[in-house]
Amino acid sequence: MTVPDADAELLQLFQDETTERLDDMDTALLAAEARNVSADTIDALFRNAHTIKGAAGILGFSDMAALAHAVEDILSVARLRGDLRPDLAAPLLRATAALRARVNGAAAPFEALIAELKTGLAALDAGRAGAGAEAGAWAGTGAGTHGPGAGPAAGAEAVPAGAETVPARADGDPTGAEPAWADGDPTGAEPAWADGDPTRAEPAWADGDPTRAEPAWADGDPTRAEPAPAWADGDPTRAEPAPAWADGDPTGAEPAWADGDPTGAEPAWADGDPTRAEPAPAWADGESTRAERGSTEGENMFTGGGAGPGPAPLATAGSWAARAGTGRPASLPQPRPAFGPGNGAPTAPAATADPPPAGEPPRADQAPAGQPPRAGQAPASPPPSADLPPAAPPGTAAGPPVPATAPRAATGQAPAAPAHVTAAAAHVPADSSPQASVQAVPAGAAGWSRDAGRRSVRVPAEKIDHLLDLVGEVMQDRRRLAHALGAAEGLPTDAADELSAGERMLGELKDSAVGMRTLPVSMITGPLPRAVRDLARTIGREVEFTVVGAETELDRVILESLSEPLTHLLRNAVIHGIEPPAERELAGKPARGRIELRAVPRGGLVEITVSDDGRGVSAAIVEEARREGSLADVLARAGFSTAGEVTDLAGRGVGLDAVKAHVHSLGGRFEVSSEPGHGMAVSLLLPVALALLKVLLIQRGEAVFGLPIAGVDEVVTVDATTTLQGRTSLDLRGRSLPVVDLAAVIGADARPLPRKPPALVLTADGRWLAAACDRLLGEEEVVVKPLGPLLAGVGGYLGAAILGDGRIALLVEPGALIRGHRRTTRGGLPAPLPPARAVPAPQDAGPARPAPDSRAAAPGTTLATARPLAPGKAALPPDRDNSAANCPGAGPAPASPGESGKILVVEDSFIVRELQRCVLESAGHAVVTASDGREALDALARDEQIELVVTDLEMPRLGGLELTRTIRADERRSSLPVVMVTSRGSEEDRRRGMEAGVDAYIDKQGFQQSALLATITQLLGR
Amino acid sequence: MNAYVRFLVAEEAYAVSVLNVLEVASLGEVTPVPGAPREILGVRNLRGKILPVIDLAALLGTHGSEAPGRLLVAESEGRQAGLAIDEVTEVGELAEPVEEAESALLTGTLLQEGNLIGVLNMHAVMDALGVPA
Repeated sequence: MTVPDADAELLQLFQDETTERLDDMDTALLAAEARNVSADTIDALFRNAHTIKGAAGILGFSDMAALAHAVEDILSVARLRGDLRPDLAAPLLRATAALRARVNGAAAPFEALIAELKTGLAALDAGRAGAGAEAGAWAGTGAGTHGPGAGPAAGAEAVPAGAETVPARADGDPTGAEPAWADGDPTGAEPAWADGDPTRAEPAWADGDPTRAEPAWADGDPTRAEPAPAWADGDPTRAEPAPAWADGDPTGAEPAWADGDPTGAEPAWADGDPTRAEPAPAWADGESTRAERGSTEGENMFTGGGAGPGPAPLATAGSWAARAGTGRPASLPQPRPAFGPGNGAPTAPAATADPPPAGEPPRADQAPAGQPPRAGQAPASPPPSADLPPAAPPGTAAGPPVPATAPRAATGQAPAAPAHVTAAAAHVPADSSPQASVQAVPAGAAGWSRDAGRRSVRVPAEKIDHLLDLVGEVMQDRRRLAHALGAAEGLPTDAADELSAGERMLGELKDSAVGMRTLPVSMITGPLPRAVRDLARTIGREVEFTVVGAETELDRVILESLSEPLTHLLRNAVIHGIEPPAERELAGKPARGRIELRAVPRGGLVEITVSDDGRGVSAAIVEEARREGSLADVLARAGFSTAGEVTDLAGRGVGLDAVKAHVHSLGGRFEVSSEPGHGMAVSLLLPVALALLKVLLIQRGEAVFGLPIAGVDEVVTVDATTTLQGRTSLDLRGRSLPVVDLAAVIGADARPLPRKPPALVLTADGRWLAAACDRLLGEEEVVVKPLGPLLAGVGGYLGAAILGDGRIALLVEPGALIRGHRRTTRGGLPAPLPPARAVPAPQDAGPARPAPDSRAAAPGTTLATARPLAPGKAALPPDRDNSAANCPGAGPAPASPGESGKILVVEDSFIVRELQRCVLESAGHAVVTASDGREALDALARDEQIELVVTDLEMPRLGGLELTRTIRADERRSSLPVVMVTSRGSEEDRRRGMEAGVDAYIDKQGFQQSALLATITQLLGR
Repeated sequence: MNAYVRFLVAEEAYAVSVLNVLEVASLGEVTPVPGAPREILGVRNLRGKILPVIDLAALLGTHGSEAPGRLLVAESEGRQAGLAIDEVTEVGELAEPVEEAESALLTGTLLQEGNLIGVLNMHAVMDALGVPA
């Protein structure tokens, strides 16, 4: 049941906040299930349930409130005991799932679940035979009056007097357990309902201390709507003036209209001076760049300026609040029916809605959240200041801080104060139903009671995009300027200095802007453990799921779009990857399967891998993949299932197609590797930021095209080619690569290519293609602009970029080129000969691995612009040293002759592993690889010829440090040189490495193949 | 009587309501987009914004002897596009179109001072290009 006229914004906020809380609860409940939960966590669980209950109640979702209430009851007991029994986790998890479904719109009845929880609660209490005060509180006082449900526990009315005092029915339902024990003492008057009205949601522990009369009613009067930042001055017990405390003085009346003029741009008092119009910090109108005119709306409302009654100031304040919270133009929420008795026009101390001063953005988030509901409240009549004696509130309940501020107004605030007060007062509904709850809940909902450490604001993504756009433009303009000035002779030193200083600052600005769009992967991985657990249980698997690298950051848009694909990959892993425990044991594996989701930053890219140690693909598929050249493609064929049977749960391959397509559309790369019987790994290589994309610019004909670095493996010169069946290919280190004219594949008109043109080796889905062009223009980070709806139907483009000289470069998606090529060569276009396979698949010695030497453009490196096709043929500009992708030909390298001994490369990411293998092999070393420390030890035991170990630091099962220590402890191998290549290069890490016995430490981020090779040479030479 | 921007395309006279016109500029450099429909000449950089440029003549089923040199940035219900035209002749009031037009892209035609002017239906033009409203 919803409240039809509830403000959409508020509902959205409720939905978002509740979902976050449910996520947190799930995580905690999973931990409880694993007997790994702390008292603090239980506390937090309880508070979350409590807040959800309150918020739901306020908004009229009484079914949710009742369920949350039941949950809260159980958690309350757990809280008192400081322990949550693992067997309680399952029903509670069901409850959170039900709440989640409900918050997302499903309308399922909760009665059964509630009943179950209440029974559980009763059992809990019954189990507490002779519990002390608690039991007494439970069963005791007023036990008889408890509602349905088992005995005292069920009633959970710690109502000494029979009638529900204080707590209990915050949601108006006497049958639910009441968080009466907000303060842990069921016998005491409850803070939660400090105002004595249990029907209101209480932000009980606004100050985090349930034993104290609540802050929400900082002024001690719970009947009054509290200005959001009740504790602006940090003291919850003091009445808080509206909010802003812009002047840092919570005791002064704070008018949203600091300058006393509600129509003027207000306040954030960004400059700390509340008397001057400030652009609202809270982005009240959602537009932070404009001076806030709380009055933008105010103008509509304030007719004749000033004291006009009506929602104006409220609206403004509220809108700020609302906007600040949601970034959308505030629409004032309507009074909600859910309010307790007598709820009528909600109060909304306008003033209180004021967003916090600029210096406290977090508040903006909080305050507003609390405000919207009130903001919406239609002011009753505009009582003149005179009506706002401090004492007023009691009767009116709705008395907002305004009354409280009245005295302050008198203390010398701007003369406008009275006007404000008036205005604010104007919003005091004549009907003084306590609206504190309204505000309280939203406040809670807004996240006040959330841990203060997480401070954030909501800003619409478009704003950030716009900012990024501007930053990109500024940078390009800068480059043009620098170029123009650089060309000029005799640039004065200080001008040159300014230029480079500006360059630095711009770089920081750019990083900052890009950083705003990035979020840690943990934002979407939160609900995954729960989902995996549930699914595994459902189908009878035992799965241990870990997330590694959740702090890795990624563009929010990309991140959000990954949620489904990742969920899908995980489902596949659980259903089709992990075998039933018995089968696993037969195979000599631990009964518990392992699934890992790992996110690793790789320079301007992020690699996300979902891997499992399950059954992997069948040998038949491996064979087919070898023929096709791509395991990803084979698996992605819809309906394909490695489970051998099709169930209604997705087959291993179903949906992989969508994931693959999605990754490509982001300009990323998709790879799959699997070993029959040993598991499978799906890797997504994605750009960190989509808005600013690193591309390689090339010219073909009159046009400039850009290809995302992630999709370009290397650049070669098309020199010696062979033609077979009308198709051209070239030999790249023993591999046959199809060569095409970029213009032809894209469909552009262009003059014929020059002789020996450069070609980009593109890769997607495990396939390669060399696309030839006229010229390489270089690498650049560009702002990706959409081509627009008119061109939306044209496939193959990621967008367009505006270059420094104003020209437009079309950004091409490598996968589209490769697919287009395959189509044409497979008979899509007239081909004289039977298509067969367009290109002989790159062969690989390993099982079902993507072609050997598959090299991702190493993170943080720039691509080499050329490399010899055949030994000795250097056709293009010299390799850029810092490119690990810069692997010279397979033949004897022009550089130093290699050492004869083998090098063991230990690295869990196959992309990086292959890359390192390539680098080393090209330098003439023989290479053996291992994907973690344990495998490395096996390899060392088997192979006497290993002379040196290159290892990563962080790896599953056995990491680099442990590996090194083990090597050092082994007499036979103790003097084996060990080089650690890792992205963790802090002093501390290096020290630990050295202590473990590492001989050399190389930073992966700035991977320099020369550094690695030189180090190896030196170590082997010793 | 409403205000219209009158212009020439393929040496023929057309008009479009001023409400649909954002600006007029030189055609500038149009970058072709391979794979795009024939009627879309390409994209143009309009002060940092990527604007698609439409070959209006082709769309209308006609062609001129010279390449268009001006760009009319048009809009209809939030959809924007640049129309490649020869030149703008004037902006002024026009009587309501009286004659029915054969083309769905025109709201009608009218005779003014001896000239037959086709009045463009921007909504239909955008639809024809397949732009979702």
